[in-house]
Amino acid sequence: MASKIRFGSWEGIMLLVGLMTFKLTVAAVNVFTITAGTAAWIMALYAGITAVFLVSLMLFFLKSFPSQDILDITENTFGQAAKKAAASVAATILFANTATLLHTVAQANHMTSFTQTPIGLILFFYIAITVLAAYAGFEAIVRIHSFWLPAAALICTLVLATGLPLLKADNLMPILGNGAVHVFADGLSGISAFNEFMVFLLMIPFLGDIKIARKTAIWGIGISCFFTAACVTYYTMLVPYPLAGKLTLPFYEIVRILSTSRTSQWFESVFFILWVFGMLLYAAANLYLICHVISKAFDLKSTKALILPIAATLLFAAGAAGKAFSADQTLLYNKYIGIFSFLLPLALLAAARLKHKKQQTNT
Amino acid sequence: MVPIRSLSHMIKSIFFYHPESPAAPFRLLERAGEDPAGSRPQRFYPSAPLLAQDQFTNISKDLSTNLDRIKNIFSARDNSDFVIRTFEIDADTDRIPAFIIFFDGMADSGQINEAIIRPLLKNHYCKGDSPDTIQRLIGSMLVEQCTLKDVIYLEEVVDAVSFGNCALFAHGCEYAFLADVKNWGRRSVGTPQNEAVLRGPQEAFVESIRTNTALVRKAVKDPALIIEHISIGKRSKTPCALLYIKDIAGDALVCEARRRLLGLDIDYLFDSGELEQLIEEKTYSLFPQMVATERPDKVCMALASGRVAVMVNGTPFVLILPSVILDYVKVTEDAFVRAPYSLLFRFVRMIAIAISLLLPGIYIAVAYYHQHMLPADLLFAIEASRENMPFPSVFELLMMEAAFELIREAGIRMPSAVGPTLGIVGGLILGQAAVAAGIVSPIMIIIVAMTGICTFAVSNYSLEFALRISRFGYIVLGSAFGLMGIAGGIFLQLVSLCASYSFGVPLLSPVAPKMRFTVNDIIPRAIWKRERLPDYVNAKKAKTQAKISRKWTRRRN
Repeated sequence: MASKIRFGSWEGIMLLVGLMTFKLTVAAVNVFTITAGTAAWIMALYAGITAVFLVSLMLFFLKSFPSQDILDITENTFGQAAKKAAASVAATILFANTATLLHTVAQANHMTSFTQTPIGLILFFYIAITVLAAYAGFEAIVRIHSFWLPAAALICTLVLATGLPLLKADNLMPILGNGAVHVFADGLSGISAFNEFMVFLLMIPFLGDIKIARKTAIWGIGISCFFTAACVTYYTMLVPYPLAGKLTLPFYEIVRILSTSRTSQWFESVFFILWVFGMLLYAAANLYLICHVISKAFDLKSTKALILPIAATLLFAAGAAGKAFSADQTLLYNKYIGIFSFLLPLALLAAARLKHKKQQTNT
Repeated sequence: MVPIRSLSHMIKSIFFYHPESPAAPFRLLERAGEDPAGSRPQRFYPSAPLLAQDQFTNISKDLSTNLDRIKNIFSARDNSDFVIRTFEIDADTDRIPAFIIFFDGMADSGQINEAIIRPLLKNHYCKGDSPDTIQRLIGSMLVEQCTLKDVIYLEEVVDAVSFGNCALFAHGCEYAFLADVKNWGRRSVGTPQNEAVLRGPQEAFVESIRTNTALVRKAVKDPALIIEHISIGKRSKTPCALLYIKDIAGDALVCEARRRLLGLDIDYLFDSGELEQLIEEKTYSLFPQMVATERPDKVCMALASGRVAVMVNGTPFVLILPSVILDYVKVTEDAFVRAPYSLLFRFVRMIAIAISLLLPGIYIAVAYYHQHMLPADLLFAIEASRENMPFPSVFELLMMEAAFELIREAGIRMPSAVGPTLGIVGGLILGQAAVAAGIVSPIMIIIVAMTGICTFAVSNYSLEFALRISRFGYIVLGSAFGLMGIAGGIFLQLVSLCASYSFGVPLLSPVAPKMRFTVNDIIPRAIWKRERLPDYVNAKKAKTQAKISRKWTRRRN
């Protein structure tokens, strides 16, 4: 019974799923529809299967390094400098993900409900609450995922189920959408939708046992792939292409479409609360992990001392993101970030495994 | 200066590194083979944690020395209610000087006369015996008292006499006798004042610890029930009791509870509320971390599920630990009525908690920022009721909530005979007048009244406080950031709850962290399906009844 009170596989799975699927409420679905057109659902499935394959490869490489995160593995295999470099890349990706998403959500809040409130103030609100949550610790943030996510998934499913009569199978035609090349060659970029999987590589020590870690990874990526594919299919069947690729807030628009009747007019407010909650969880988890990665890489004694300075930087970065990058550039970022978050760790783990094997053979 | 110092301390704690305390926080993990008596001091004397063995004073053989010491300790010259009665025990060949001490009003003087002084003065048993024999026979034959014990330390005598006992000293005897003759004014066992139920026992704890332990023991009727005595307070030596069922409660939990109780260095303890704050993990948390109840049946159920209870003399509220947040929603009646009924009760209470916490904040958020989320008819009705109102909605709401809190506070403090009058004057007349004067809108009265009613449906007093305080936060957040603020507030409270523990058990167990839990932890099930004990208390037993507890349902052979 001693093992019950701790950060276990359920919490880990929910954290991964929460981080990977939250983007769906903003514009992640658009990446699929813009690239593959009516075949977005095929691309989502294809990207999902590819992601599962890549994760399986990673887990295979991780076999030689039980209970070590990617920073430990890099340090043990390639030394301190490599660890610092890997930590910098990881922290930058987490930082960029959070800043981009914070800006997108704050802008969406501004457009939908807070037209009189400056975006800066909305961002400040998010950052302030995120900072307080990060001070409470990673365990608390992860635990919220464990019950919030199933509840949110259930509510979203019920809300979306009311729109089932509006779905049209015709919207999936032509079956290969913008063409097989777009779906399968460009479609590889769809793995970027799961780029938050990188978090798993940083939280392996929190999970302890290698079996729990494997279970967390497989279920985490599997559930995320299922939800992504289901959401993309639903969206494509509800909103016809090319309109599907033009909506800036796809799911918010869907909820507004569904909120027409008297019984369903509360959908919007429920969705809004879930949306804000999801953003806070995403930002809090990432903020803590950024601090954790930096403190671990540079052997700092305290993680919490980094929270406030990094949060302030995040606030400025999220505020500046709107001016520095256009919507197309953000879309481009969302499309290709997967290369860094999937392929770099994979290459690193492969090299580490090779070196490890070589060392074992020598000894 | 103090706020500035604490502010600077807070800022330093944010920016500067502080090494963690070497003592890791307690987490309720099973420690196999640990003896529940492990943390018990060698000699289980009340002051043991604070006094070393060599600091005790032995009782002298010389009676005058003892008398001087006693007079000095109890300030006999100044204390008008302190009684010293000197006399001589008739031993035929010799007369042995002796004295008894007690506090008038705390001890039963009739019983002292009949059972102690009279037998010693008219000694018919030991004619011609030596003083040594008489001293030996005082306990066995002379004193007609059922609870007589001999002690060797003066400190033990002092504690016992301060608690209403009578002490007997005899010359040449190096121990004193303590007779339990307590008889101070005490309340009889009555019905619960704060946790009333329609179905179930109607007894409530009283201020006397011995009555309370008896109430529990007669209900549990299990010889494995252990009631450990622990005194807390260097001066008050307040008698406390640690209750657990030794083959159900986990050793780690019992040890930790005992460790915290014995590790208190305070002068006085008057109430279990003080004790609760002294032994809980987070003192500044809004949410309570242990259940305080006046119901013996609730304590018995908690003990049967592997928890520990702590009683304090002088208060009818008993602490149950550990507790999780769902415990504050449950009432004992849930177990006594049929599952569908208790499901309804619990559902109503949960709705009441949600309304009590969020309704005013959501109203303000929707009225200020999300008008398009309201049905058009409702929106028009609200707008019409708010026409010509002089104050902004948030100010109006805060004003009404503050007024409601004032009425509630005044209602508690004033004599019970005037209470209904206050309710009528405060609630009806003032409310009506405020609406008629155009100061507050009728919808605001409905919101505040609804919130107030829902607060009363919350079964736990401490949780009610947490909700009342949080509600003001939600009003401010809702007025500043709309539903986004409300979501932020809920998020922060959940984070705070997720980071909170009650005796090493996460407050949100068994949901977060997710553990094996029966549905009954959240939704009441049929009584024959309540097989498992809660996993988070790490009890020694996993089940409380057989898989098929109603064996009569099996077909007869």
